[in-house]
Amino acid sequence: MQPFFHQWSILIIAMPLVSFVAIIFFGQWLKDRVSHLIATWMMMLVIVCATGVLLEKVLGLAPVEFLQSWDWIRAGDLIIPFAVYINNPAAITMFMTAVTAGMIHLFSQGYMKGDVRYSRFFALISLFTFSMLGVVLADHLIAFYIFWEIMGFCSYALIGFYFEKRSAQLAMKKAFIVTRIGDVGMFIGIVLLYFSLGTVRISELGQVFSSGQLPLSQTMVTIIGLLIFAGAIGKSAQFPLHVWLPDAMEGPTPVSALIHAATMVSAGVYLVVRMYPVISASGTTLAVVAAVGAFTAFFTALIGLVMKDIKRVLAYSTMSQLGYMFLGLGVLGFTGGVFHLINHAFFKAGLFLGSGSVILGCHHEQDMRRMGGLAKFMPITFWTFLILSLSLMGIPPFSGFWSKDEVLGSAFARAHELGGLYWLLWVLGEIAAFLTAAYMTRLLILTFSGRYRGNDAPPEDYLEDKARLEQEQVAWETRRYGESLGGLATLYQPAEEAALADGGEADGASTGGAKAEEASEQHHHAPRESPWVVTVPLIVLAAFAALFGFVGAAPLGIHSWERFIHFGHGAPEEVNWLVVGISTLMALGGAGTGWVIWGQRPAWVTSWYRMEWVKRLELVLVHKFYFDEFYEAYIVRPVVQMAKGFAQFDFWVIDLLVNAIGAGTKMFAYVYAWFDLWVVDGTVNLVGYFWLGVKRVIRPVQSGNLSGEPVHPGAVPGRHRGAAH
Amino acid sequence: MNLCILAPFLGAIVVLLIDHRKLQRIRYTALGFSLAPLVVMLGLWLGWWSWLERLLPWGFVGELLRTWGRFVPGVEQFNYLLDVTWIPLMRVHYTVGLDGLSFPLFLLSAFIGVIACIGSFGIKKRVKEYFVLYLLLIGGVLGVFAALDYFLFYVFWEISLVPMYFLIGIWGGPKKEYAAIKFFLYTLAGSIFMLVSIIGLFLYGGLQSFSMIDLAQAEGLKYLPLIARTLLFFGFFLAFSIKVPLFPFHTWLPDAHVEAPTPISVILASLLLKMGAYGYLRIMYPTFPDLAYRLGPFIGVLALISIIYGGLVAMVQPDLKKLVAYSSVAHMGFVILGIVSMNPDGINGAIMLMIAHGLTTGALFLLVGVIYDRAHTRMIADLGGLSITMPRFSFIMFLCAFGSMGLPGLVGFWGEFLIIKGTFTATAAWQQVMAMGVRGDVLMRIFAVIAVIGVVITAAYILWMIERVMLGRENPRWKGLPDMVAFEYWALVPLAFFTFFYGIYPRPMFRLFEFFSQNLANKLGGGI
Repeated sequence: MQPFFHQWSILIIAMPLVSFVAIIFFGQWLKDRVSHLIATWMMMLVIVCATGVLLEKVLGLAPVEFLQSWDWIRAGDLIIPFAVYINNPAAITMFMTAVTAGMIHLFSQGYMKGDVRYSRFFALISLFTFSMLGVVLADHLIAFYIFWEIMGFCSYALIGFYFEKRSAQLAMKKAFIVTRIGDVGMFIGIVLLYFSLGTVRISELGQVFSSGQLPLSQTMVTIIGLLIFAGAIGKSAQFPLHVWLPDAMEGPTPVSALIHAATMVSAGVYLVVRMYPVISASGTTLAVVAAVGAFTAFFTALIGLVMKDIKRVLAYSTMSQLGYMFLGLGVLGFTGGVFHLINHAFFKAGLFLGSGSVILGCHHEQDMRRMGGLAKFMPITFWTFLILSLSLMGIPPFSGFWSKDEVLGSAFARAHELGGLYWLLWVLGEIAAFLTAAYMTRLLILTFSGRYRGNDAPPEDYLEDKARLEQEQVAWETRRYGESLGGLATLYQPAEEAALADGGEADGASTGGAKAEEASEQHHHAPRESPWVVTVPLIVLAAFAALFGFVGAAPLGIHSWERFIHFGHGAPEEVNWLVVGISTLMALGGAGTGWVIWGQRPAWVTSWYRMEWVKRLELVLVHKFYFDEFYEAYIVRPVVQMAKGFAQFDFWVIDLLVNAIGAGTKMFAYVYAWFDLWVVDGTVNLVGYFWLGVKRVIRPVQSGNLSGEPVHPGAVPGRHRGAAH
Repeated sequence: MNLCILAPFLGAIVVLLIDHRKLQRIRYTALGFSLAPLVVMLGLWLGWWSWLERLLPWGFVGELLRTWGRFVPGVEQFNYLLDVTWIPLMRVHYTVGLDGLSFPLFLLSAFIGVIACIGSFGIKKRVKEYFVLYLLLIGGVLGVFAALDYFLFYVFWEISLVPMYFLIGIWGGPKKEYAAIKFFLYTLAGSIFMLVSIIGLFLYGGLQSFSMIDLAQAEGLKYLPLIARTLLFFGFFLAFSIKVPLFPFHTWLPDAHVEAPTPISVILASLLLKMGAYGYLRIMYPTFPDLAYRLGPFIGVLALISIIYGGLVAMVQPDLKKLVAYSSVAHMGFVILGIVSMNPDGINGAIMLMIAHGLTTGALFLLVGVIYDRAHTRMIADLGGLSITMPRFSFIMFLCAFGSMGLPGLVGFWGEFLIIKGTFTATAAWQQVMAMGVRGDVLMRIFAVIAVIGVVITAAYILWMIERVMLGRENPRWKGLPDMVAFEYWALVPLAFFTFFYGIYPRPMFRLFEFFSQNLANKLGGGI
């Protein structure tokens, strides 16, 4: 039997593109409802097809390495085919992308309801899904890079979806430029690979690197690997290019779920997965990958402990989990790394959607200081969120546990093998597991337990934060427009209220108006459960988070994941019960500690908070280790200063030189003109005047009229005078 | 093909004969005459005339159509070659013809000629004179790209200069006189050096001929002393580098752009700058391959400075038009870097980037013009929030700005990618010690890496520009500013379309010039 879905995989990629084109070009004539229906149904089709692809792989109906290629670009010797290369990791990642993207399309119908740019939102997430699918399937690295950058553009446009906000503008620009710095590295890496091997097709690279006859020195392999990893660092927000991801939370929550949690940021990990033959060809590269991963996992988890915004906690958690994946890949734990990639996509997308549901329920409040006690009001959201959180914390038997355990097991094995600093990586991973459980417990407690604080008077520091944002916005608008436009409060109000008023089921966007006002008044006292378009995706993703882990539950003796994903790096590892035990203890310990610190709040914890060093530590964490400030002061500002200097130089030196040459020529022309007038012409005139003078002397003599009186006043005066001159 | 060059000149005469009060008639006549080259060229490209010839094989029309066969890029000699003695006493011929290099640029000129003509419909002052000069300008530019006789080339080169002077000087902005005279004198100074070099070629080429085709194979030059050849080389170098413009010679560009009326800025950026790079590829490099190689690092450094410096200076420009002008400097730096690599990929990339730059920068200048016509300011600080005020405008602005930035999937990417790959791969000829004990290929690789930094800088200034001009809450000052009107819209839509189309499928373009690049690279010894 022909692998039907594999055969048509290129059409699967194209489907979201079709909805993008339809919505962006005909959106102005379509109703909002039609555009979301187009996008969502197209995504449902994509889910079906992606499931088909996966099933064909699982059932062995398709070849292990499916390759299909079309002629695309030729320029002289350069031939770039458009090729689709589906191996097992690609099939499962494609499935993951399709499912999360489909769920998020559904969710957005509820969340974005009534937004002024509703249909544009769907167009952009469709375009994004298109490019992500392209990244997953593309065989040629140039095609990969193109999709990769389109993805970056979508991320840029969606982070800045509320581009009236100053903070969103800054975030979008930052995201694009910071990731582009990584991309430049990757680009050089690709060119280097092209140059040295003559091919950059992923399918061929695998063969070249596994053949053992590499026309490259080991140093070169390391350099290429590191450069390509630079792209992954940028996209996956790893240290030191991690600064853009927290700010990217300025985008609408579904975007954070889709792009900045499930898919795009995992694309960096996927790049390493895809290029694993190249990356793993050098021990140094692997070590760097692992070190960056472990360090990021640890230090972002630390920052996650103090964030106040629910989405930012999740953003730091995303970076931390991505760090785990890199750690896994870097310690040759390919199985675990990919497994964590898939599991994380499901539970993190779910968590973000859950937070979206919470935010919707709390009237677009994202700050956890104004939440609390939501378990009562939003039961479905609470229970799904709980499952998803347990999965993230790595509590058995949820999916996160199995994959995180796999990663840490590999780290332990690698440390055992190589010793030295590799132990540090493992330890960092374990500490990060502890911290993960702690900050998630904190998040759960602050959000769902206790009393709803939304109707209380807002705490002081909350007001300070809001005021800072407000002031930033007002200052900027005043500077730009010469007047204040009313600050943040006047932004998006009608849209938000309409979203609340209509819920998910009511039809049409009755924007603003008395109805919305009234509805918001009614609901302002109590948060309420979100409509089905919001909760159904939560339930689906929670089911994945709960159950998907079992496909790779190595400690239970289930090795189907390993068999599925196996790439040929040694035999399946033994289950290390010590590591399983330690990780479980870490997770439970973290959860327990979190519960004691934020749930119980005994007196000794409160007394800690008053200690000087704790305060100072908290300040450092709240400022995210001062990375933003550092980059601002030592990179952004010097570059702008340099640019200003160059502009001055251009005006005052180079242009002045040109003008000076012009002026010099002109001056010379003046001098010459003077010379011409007074010397050259003057000589000529002098001759004339000389003879004029001579005439004066001679005429009386010649004519005999010495008295000077006219002899014949009327007779031929012209000729007479003319002759004289 | 000759008709393409003649049409604008003919058009200029026809427009002269129209009553100066009949504005619409003048506009549409000019449009018709600038459309003619485009139609002919598209026919040559896509083979329309061959089909038509099968339908109408008789008489004069059949004869004419038979000479308009489909363009064949893969041959050594020139398509549509016409060689007529012009001034026998001076051995000057009227020789024109197109090959893989000139065909795409000629096509681009015909295309931009139409676009800018549509864009000129908003000109209110002395319409008749404007269109006469405009058509002369287009004719000159087309002539430059087709001429195969040095003397003819020089004549067309100067023909394109004079109307430009008047177009800036009469229809320009507040400092128009200064800009016009600066542009004119600066480029004239360059072209005088070129004239000297041309005469030098005539005398020392050993052929007593102005023919580019013959002189390209001339043996006589090889026996000239190095110093003499270097002087000849520098004559061309100055003329073309001023036109490109390369780093120290670039200051006329921002002034001319800022003062020129919108459509003229478009022509200036999209076409006139290409004439410089065309000169590099058509004359400088093939005629002096050894000097091109020896001076490669020097020109390469200037190109790199253009990229980085142009980008940084663009970043802090307060004037939107100046920003786009400096971005042209940076982009043309990339083009020259690709040429310097002397590698088929690099040259392919250079030509592709020329086309990309012609499309996107042309579009950006039109867009800036749209803003300026409405708001009467181009200062970035005064603008803001336009994406709400003018949605159609901002859609195209986004597309073209990102295309200019070289976002993969849009047209600018292919040029940059190939240039960087070509520079990186510049091996065969460069494997010797060049300067300061550094081997040529290593040097070129360093160049490639530095050029890549330019990509980030480009992203930075484009995004910052977008942020300050387009984003943010609607600016109360510009509330109610009308969106683009029909003629502006239809001038921009084709540009936006091709920005997108050649971004995803650049093959038709590459097909035109890949043979040319290969041949040139082989000749330069940079081929693989």
